[in-house]
Amino acid sequence: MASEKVGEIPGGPSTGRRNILGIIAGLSAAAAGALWFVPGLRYVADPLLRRPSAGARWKRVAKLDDLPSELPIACAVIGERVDAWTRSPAQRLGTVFLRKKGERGLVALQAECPHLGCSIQLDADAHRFACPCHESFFDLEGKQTSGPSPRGMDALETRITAEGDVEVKFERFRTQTRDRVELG
Amino acid sequence: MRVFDWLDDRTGYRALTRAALDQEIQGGARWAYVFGSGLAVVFLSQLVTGLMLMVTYTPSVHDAWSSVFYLQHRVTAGWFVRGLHHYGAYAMMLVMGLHMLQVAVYGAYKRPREVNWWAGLALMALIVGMGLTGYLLPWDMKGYWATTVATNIAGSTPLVGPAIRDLVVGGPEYGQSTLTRMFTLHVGVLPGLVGLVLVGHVVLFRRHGPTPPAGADLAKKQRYFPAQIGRDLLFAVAVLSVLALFTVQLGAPLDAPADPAILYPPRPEAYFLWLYELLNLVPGKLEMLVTLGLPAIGGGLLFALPFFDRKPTTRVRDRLLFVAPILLAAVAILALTAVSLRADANDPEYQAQRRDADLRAERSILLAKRGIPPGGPLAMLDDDPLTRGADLFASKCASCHVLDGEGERWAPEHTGFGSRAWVRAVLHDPDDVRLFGLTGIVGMPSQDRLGDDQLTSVTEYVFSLGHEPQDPAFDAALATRGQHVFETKCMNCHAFEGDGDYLAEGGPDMTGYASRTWILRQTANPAGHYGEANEMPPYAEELTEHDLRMLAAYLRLQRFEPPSTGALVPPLNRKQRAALAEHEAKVRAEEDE
Repeated sequence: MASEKVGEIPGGPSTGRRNILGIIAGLSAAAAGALWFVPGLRYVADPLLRRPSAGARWKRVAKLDDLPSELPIACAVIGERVDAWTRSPAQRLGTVFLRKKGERGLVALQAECPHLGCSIQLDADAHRFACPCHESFFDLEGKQTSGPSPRGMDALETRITAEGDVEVKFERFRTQTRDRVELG
Repeated sequence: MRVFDWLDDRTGYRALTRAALDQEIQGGARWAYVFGSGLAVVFLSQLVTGLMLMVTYTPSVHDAWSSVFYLQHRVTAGWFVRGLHHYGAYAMMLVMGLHMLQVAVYGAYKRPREVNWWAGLALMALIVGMGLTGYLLPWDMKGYWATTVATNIAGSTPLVGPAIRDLVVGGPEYGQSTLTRMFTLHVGVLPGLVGLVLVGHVVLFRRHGPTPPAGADLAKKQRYFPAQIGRDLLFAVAVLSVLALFTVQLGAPLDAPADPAILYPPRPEAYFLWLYELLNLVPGKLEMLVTLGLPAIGGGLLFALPFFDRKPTTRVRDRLLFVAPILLAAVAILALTAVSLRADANDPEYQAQRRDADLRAERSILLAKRGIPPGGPLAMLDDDPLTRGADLFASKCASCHVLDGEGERWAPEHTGFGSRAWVRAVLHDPDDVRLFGLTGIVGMPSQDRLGDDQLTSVTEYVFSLGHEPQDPAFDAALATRGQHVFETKCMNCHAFEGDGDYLAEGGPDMTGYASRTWILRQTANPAGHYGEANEMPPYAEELTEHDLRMLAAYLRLQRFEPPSTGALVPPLNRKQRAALAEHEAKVRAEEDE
């Protein structure tokens, strides 16, 4: 397209040698660009390439004898947190609602709302859970009664140790999905 | 294509690219012209890799080192991005030097290109500034000390110096303000200025075009595309490939986290070594002449070059007066760099300090891989017996005790302390100058009369006293036999778990001998072990409980030294040190659980 003017100059772009130089240069530049681009892209995409860390961990959250019967209480989950390069012991990893059912039955519910991740709160008077952000409501079993949440509250596995400690298999899940998907 | 027609109608991009690609080059394309665009490409690479580093890097004295560690060892391809940026800085300096030499030799600073020559000089100063502000950012030993020296040099400028120094440092002390200010200069102010001046530089270049060498066939004309652009691209690709090669082969170094309390042999980055060497060559009184005078005079002369060299000829032979000093200066810079590198390579004291620094860096990275505590990398090292213990030994103990061949000999050797070899050596001759020979602790005769069997068993027994559950097993049967020997032959003088003639004869209590607790007691209050014969000062007041524990844990590691052959206690080599570190790491990991 730029040919009229170029033609005026002797030895212009039409000669073979110069075109070959141009092609070699272009190709090597493309190769060098790829050399930069691929690791660069991988570097920036690091969070997508990382293998998920340990995931679920059993955490002691309460003593069985300290739990009131039939009414949930909020228990802090304390554990080690690795945040990028910092490894901090005894950090608050999250909250679970724990409710004693009968003599040895237990219900443990993740307090993170499956809708958009707000902290669900216990509305003790109304015997229900409520998310303060977008008004999702759940019954004491964690079943959704109304609101935009795509699923009920996430139940967590529990176990009782010989010493009478309640342990919860603490996990976090993706928000906005109908089925539970573990977060890495 | 209609889409492109639409775009061209709205933007006029075709005319722009045509103007760029079709520029005429008088005298034809040349390899000599590749340096400017090569420099621009490296600068672009620095911009891109620099922005990428900012995804991870954290400009806080508490986190900077950790974030660079994380970048280098944890983030996917982080080592590659950082390596390109690190060696890219070297490439900037080198290609900049070549560009300037080419321009100077070709006489491209002459009328009408003076302003562009000045723009180039300004870019040079800015790029040197980017180098200076860049290497502090990891907040490691190297950057910290190099920056301390550089800012103090700036501070020696007459009149304005102290103000400039404090402005850059952010106060009288080096700290968070220094790092934040350097970071702002490095990622904002300086690259912004470089970008601005670079635009002017390129616009002026396009106005005047390159300067053909004297005698070139001016009738020959080529367009920028493809002849010159091809050469430019090939050169740029070659430079970038060398960067990648260096990155893959050597990687960007990371020293131990900055700690002004630790001895360190400071050196500037390689591209300032020539100035450093020059500083060593001139007498102290002339120092300012080198650090400030030389850059000022050199810069001034270069600035004025177009005024001195006014004749229109660009033939080198006619301009030797101007070209020769510049070439000589380039050769001198290279020579001084080589001299400096050689001097360091042949300086055993520098090499020893450098080895220590490398060990510290290696150790820091090993510890960081297990997770850096919330207190940051210095707290991490402070809690590491191998690091903190060694620092304490060097500052408190080495004036009397020898360890790994370092320290003065006034009291027992500490290399291999508590190991079988060490115990056996004491049994053989406690008054050896390497043991208690130079101390007031006397009276224990050689136990050689016990014979080899009993000596071996009692050695195993004494060795077992400092045993901890995670240690490699000792020979329990042998130790039991040794215990019998100990109880019959040694407890006349040595106390043990409340029995024996404790201190009556001056022999130390052997309960848990050479264990952490024993060493801690010995350091805190040596008279408790050796009574009136003791000459070692107590450290209970001087050192904190934490430091006493670190020192004890560190010295206890000496027991794992492999039994010596011949020499009483040969110094540990690197491999053994690494093995010790590994062992200690395992111990600590178990403790953590």
